[in-house]
Amino acid sequence: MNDVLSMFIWGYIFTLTVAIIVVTVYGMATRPNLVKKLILLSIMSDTASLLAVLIGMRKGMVKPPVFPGVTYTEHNPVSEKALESFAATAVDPIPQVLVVTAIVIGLAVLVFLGYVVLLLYQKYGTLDVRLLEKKMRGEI
Amino acid sequence: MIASIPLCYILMAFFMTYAFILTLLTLKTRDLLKATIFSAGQAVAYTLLLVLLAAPDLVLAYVAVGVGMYTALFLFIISRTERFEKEVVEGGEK
Amino acid sequence: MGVLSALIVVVLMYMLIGSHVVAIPPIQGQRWLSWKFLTSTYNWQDKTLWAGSPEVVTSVLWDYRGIDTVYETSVFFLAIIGGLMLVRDYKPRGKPTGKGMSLISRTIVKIVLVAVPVVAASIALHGHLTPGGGFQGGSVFAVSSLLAIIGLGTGFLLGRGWSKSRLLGFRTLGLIIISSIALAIPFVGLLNGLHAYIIQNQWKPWAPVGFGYLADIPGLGSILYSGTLVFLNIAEFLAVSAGLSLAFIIMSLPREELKRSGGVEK
Repeated sequence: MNDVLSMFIWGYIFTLTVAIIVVTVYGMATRPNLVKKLILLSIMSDTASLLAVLIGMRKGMVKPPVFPGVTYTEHNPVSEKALESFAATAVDPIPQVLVVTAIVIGLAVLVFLGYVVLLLYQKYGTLDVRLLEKKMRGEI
Repeated sequence: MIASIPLCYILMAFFMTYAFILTLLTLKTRDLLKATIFSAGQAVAYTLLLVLLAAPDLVLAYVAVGVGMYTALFLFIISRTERFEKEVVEGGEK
Repeated sequence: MGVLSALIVVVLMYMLIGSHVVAIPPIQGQRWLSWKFLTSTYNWQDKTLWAGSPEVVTSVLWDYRGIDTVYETSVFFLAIIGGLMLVRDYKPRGKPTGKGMSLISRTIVKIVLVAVPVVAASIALHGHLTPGGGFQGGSVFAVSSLLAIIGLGTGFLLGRGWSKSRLLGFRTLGLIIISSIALAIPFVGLLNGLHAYIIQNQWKPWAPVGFGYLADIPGLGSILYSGTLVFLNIAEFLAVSAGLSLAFIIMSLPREELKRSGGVEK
């Protein structure tokens, strides 16, 4: 009963994550305003990072990947049993490392795109993709 | 991390549903200020979800970047450009 | 359109589960690589592959995959440079007059503005012992400078000497410290004829140049600085906080000054 319930809830969480990615991609392709596209891009990159962290989850009572305890020295080293019990209940640390890098790169891309949007508004006076296309070609 | 395991998963499912509803609202609304506030609420839901997934470094990075900086960046851009998204424009096709 | 999206979601979930990327319910044991990382970063008995700090995420970021982090910092640097396009010919003509918010908000912002940079520096300094690190502390510091811009007006920071060139100087100083730490150990190895890597942290049997991990201070006992991790965290904190504060100060300038000083012809 416990197992079946957790399996259903876990499948529901994954389906919702993939659904948010699909919805934001559809929104970026359809809506004509540049700022709305930026907002949906930020949501999409955060949700992709969350999917990576969800893959690293382990069964049971999990702990964060930080070794607990007081300071150790040469005369009081960490025993093998303590290391093995730490490694058996900790969550996977590798997706978290990749996601820290991904958050920084997403922030850099979004700050740069924000500057580009401001420059486009200064030069053309509009942020609507349909009007921008005509103005860039020189028809208006 | 909480006492009984399905309770942890139920909380995660609740925050995920909240984030999904806010994303749909961000897509549908035509007022860009409301879209920014909805995306800030969705970032708060993601932060709580990351706490439940035992990722403390990501919580520190995400709470400053997702809730603070993205919202401020979008508000700066909206205050220097237009606030409403137009449905039909003259001179362009729909 | 809704039916098509639902169909795409179902197909993607089937492909993810079928190729065993996503496991429903979560699996019990660790994968091989995460077991290696978890048991070898704080292993005092077998010091061949260790990193000297109990915090696995920071040691993987700066020791095992240090070149990835150096490239990520340079991508961030390039994004800030691209944004400087908006203020190419900016000469500050008098002080920008922005009054900020009401009196109550200004008092509370002034009180909070003392506490937030201290928390940011603390997060960056203990990044090798507990969750934290250079980038996390830098972004919390940037939030505090954002508070100062919004709550106290645009003239507050510019009036205290936070100019464009000074912030760029701090940013460059952080990057110079990171690259000199990265290149210091192979330089020492080259002088002595030993084998050494570029972002090496601790002593290894096949590359016998290391940075050390314990320091004895006369009054406080011995503290654990995990080799290069502390200094890299401090340098990254300096670089990220200066760069993000510069990005927000540029964006908060008044509209007429941006039009005047950018390089865009109408």
